[in-house]
Amino acid sequence: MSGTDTDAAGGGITDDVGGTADAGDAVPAVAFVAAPRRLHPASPVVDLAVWLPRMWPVLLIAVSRSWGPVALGAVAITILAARAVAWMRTSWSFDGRELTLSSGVWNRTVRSAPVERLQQVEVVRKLRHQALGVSSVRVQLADGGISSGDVVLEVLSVHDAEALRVELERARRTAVVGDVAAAVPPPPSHELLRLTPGLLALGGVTGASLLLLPAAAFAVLSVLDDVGLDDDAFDLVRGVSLVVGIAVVAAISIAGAALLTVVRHHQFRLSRRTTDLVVERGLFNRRTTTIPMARVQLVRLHRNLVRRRCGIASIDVITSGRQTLDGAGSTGDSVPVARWADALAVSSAALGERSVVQADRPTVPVAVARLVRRRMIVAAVLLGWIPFVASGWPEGPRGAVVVGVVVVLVGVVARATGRSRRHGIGDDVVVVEGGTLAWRRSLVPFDRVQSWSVSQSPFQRRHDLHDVAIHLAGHHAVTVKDATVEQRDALLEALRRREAVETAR
Amino acid sequence: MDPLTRTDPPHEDHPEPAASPVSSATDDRGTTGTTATDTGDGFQLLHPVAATLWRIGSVATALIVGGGATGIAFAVAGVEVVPLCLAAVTVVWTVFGWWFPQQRYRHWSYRIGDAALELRRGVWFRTSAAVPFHRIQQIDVEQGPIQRRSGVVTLRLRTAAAMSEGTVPHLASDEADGVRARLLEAARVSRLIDDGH
Repeated sequence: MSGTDTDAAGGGITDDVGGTADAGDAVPAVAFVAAPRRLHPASPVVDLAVWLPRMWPVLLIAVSRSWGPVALGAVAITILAARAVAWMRTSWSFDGRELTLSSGVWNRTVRSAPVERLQQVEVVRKLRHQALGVSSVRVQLADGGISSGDVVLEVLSVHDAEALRVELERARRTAVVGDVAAAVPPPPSHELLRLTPGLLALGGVTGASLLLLPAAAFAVLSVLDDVGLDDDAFDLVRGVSLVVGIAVVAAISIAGAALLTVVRHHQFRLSRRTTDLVVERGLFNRRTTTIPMARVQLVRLHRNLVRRRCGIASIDVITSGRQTLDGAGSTGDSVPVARWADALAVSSAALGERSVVQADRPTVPVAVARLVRRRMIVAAVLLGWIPFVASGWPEGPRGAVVVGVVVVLVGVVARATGRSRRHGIGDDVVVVEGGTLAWRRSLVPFDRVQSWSVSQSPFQRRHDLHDVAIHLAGHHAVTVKDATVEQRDALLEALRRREAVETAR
Repeated sequence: MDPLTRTDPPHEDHPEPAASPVSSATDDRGTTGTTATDTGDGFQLLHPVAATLWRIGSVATALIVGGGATGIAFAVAGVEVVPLCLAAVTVVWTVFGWWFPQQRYRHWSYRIGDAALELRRGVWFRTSAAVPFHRIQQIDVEQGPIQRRSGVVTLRLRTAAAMSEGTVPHLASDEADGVRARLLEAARVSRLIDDGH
C-alpha cells in the first residue's frame, strides 16, 4: 500500500495511509457559521453545461440554419440569466448540527439534513466540474418511504467541498460519540482494497456491461431499420460472413466493456477511516464517497458463473439512502470487482466488529423439488404453446422436443438453484445466499432489522414451508425462501432475542 | 406457536354485523360499541364491520367493472357468446366478492406483544408480520368517508423500512385511540431504554 498525496485542487482524498491524522484535518478549516452562503459563482455556467446537451434536438436544427449561431447564443444567454437568478436565490449553511439548503425563485424550498440522520456524503467532480475547478457535495439521508430528499450542493469550490465533507464527518462523529471522544485525533485510515486496471478490465468483461454494446448496436440497427436508413448500414456488413461478424462484435464488446469499467472505476480505492468507509474512483467523473459504517444496512456479494470460475466477485455496501441513476447512492457504491478472498475481507470490514457466520442451513430436498416443479411448470406453460401457433419456430413434434429440452434445462438450473440456497444465523449477522447463474450472498446485521414477516402460499402449506422476509431501512428486504418449521422458528427466535437485546441495551 | 396458525375466533356462530354504524351497535356480550374480538390466543380480530366494508368494495367493483363491460358487450354484440360469458364472469365475481371478505376478516388479526406489534392475515397466502416497538417512526390514523360513517379507522405504523407491513385496517375509532396510545407508550419506553434513561 502506498500513500496518496494531498491534492485539494484535485479533489481527491487527502490522507496518508499509515499516517497519524484524519485526512480532513489536513484541509484548512473553513469558518462554517450558521449564516447562509451562496454556491460558487460558476454555478450558472455549470448549469448551462447541464442544460445545453438536453436541448440537442433544438441545437441540431439551429446549427443547420444561417441564424443558428445567433439563436444558440440567445438560448445560452437566457439559460445563463435564468440560472444566475436561481443562483442568487440559493444559499446554504451549516451550523455544526444541520446542513440547510434554501433554493427556488418562485417557490422557496428549504431542505435540512441533521448530521445524525446522515447516511453518506459524496464529493463528486464530473468533467464539467473539473473543467471549472469546482466540486459538488451530495448529502444522502435515509429514505424509508416517508420522505426523501438528498441535499445536493451542486457547485462549491474544491476547497469548500472538501472542508464541508470534513466538517460533516466531524460533526457526525460528535453527534455519535460525544464532544470529548470526537476531539481525540482519529486513528489513521486503513486501505482495504485497491483495484488495478487489469482486475477492473476482468470485472468489466465478466459483468453485465459486456452486454451494453451489443444491446446498443442492436438498438441503433433497429432504429435505422425503422427510419429506412438501414441500407448503407447493412451494405457495410452484407459481405462479411456470420462468424467474422460475431467475432468482431464480440471483440468490440469485450474491449468496450473493459474500457467502460476501467474509466468508470479508475484508481478505485476503498479505505476505512475511523468509523467510515471511503470510496474513491472515476477517471472523468471523480467521485469520493464517505459511508458511515453505522449506516450500513446490508452487505451483498454477487458472482455469476463466469466470475465464479475466475475467482472474483462484486460487493454492494447498502445504506438506507436513495439509489440514483447515475450510480450514486445505496447500491452504486459497490465494489465492482474483487478477488474472492478480498471480497470476504471487505464484507467483514464493512460489517464492523460483527462476527460473520457461514450459511450452514441448506434448503431441504422437498423445497428443492418444489422449486424444480414450479419452474418447469411455468416454463412449460410459457413455451408449450409456441410450436403450435408461432411461425418461424420449429413446428409440431420437432417444436415439442425443443420445448421439452428447454423445460428440462430450466429444471436442471432450478435444481442447482434450490441446492445452492442456504442461510446461517450468527450472534450478530444473518447470512442468506443462493443462485446459480447469478449467485448472491446477503449479510444482514441483526441490529439493522426493522421488521419481519412470515408468509406461506397454499402450495408451501402442503409441505409446511415458509418464506421469512427481513425488512431493512429503505427499500431493502432479504428473504429466506422455503424455510422449514425448525428453520423458521430458529430465525424468528434469533430475531426476537436480538430485538430484546436491542431494546434492553 | 406457529405464527401462521389461526385459532378460530369465537364469533363463528355470530350473526353478520349490522350494516348500521357500529358505534351504536350492540354485540353478543351486550356491550355498546363493539370492538375487536379475541381469537383465544391473544390476537384480536378487526372490527366486525371490516368484513362489510371490504364486501361493499369488492361487490361494487365487480358490479361496476364486470357489469359495465357486460352491458357494453350486450349493447354492441347483442345476445352472443362473449356477452354471456362476461355476464357469467360478473356473477361469479360478485358472489366471490360477497363471500371472500368474510374469510379475509376471519383470518385478519393483530396483537400488541411484549416488544412488537404482530399481525396475521391471508386466506390462501398467509402472512405473519412483526413490527418492533422501538423501530416505530410514526403512527398515522386514517379515516375515509365510509369508515367515518362506520366508526372505524385505519392505523398505519411506519418504520424506517419502506416494506414494513404495519397497517391495521378497520379498527373501531375508540379502540384505535387506545391501541395508538399503547403503541406510542411502548415505543417511547423502548426509546427511553435505548437512550439509557
